Amino acid sequence: MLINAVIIFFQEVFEAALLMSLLLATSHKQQMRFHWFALAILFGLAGATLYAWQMPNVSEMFDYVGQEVTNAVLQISISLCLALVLLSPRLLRWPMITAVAAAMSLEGSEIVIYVSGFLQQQQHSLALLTGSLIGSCIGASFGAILYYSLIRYRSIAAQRITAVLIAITSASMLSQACQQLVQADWLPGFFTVWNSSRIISEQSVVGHLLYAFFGYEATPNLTQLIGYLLPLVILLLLSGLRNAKDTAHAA
Amino acid sequence: MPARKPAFFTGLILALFSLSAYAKPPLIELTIRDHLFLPSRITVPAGQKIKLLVINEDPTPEEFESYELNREKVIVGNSKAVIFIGPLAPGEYPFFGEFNPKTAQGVVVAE
Repeated sequence: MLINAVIIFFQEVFEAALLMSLLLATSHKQQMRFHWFALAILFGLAGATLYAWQMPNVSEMFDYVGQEVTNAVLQISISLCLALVLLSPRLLRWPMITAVAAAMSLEGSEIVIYVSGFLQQQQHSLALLTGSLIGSCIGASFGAILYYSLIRYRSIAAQRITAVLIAITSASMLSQACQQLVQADWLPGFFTVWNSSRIISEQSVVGHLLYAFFGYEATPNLTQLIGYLLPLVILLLLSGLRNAKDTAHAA
Repeated sequence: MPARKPAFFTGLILALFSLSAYAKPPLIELTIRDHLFLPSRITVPAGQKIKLLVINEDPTPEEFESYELNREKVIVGNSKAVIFIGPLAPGEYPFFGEFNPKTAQGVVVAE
């Protein structure tokens, strides 16, 4: 077994699985059928393969920062789609499909590139297979745990938790897009706001979980922090207002 | 006030130079060969943005990753990539190749 494959597959599958679980739980609550999800998976697989295949060309674009720009575009699309899903009174199929497909393209392309590079140089494909299966299964089970915990309760509180998690994921995606654009020197990073790597290192298990759930960064720059807090506050306020209106209508 | 003019122009030229220095951060090259970063220790000026040019001479892809620098980027085989880092506070910032972490290790030293 290849421990590196376990780690890489786990990280990528885990991050995509959390987003899928949130949207699946939302569509489950609205008694929507899961056809959209099958379509999203298909688009996601195609997107990941296409992005990985075009990576040499994409990387050379915009003076060798094409990858950052493409990642930022994908992350901004995910963020906007999640905001739409959160704020729209009825369930929107296409934003959900776009969000899942974009997340899969983002995380999946890295897996495709890793695997293709590995197969190019080494013969231990069984070790790779075992490692990738174990990593994917652990990542997917976290998603399954989140999904079943979210659909277990039908109370308003449970719905609010799903909504808050979607708002957090949307903010986290926008903040990651800001980070990519700072890395490409398209946006200024200003300065590092804090350094909490001694308290919770991003390399630790807790750090990884916090990153995947809340977009935790041990050393965020100002642009990243604004890109996180601003959409989070706006989304929570808007969805709070919507909830208040709904409650008023119901009463 | 003819005496002041040269001072004004010197000032203007200096300002333009510093502006171009701001627009063009120092370029530092880093090579990936046989799943190693060469050089594995890079010294950069602190408090300044740096343009890192990573040249992957291996036919296989690598992922430049650093938690300390807050950077992550895939570099496909036989290709180049640009990563902007900093401005950094003085200190050591380790980085590694996520696809070959056993061998591909390095550190950026800001001073």
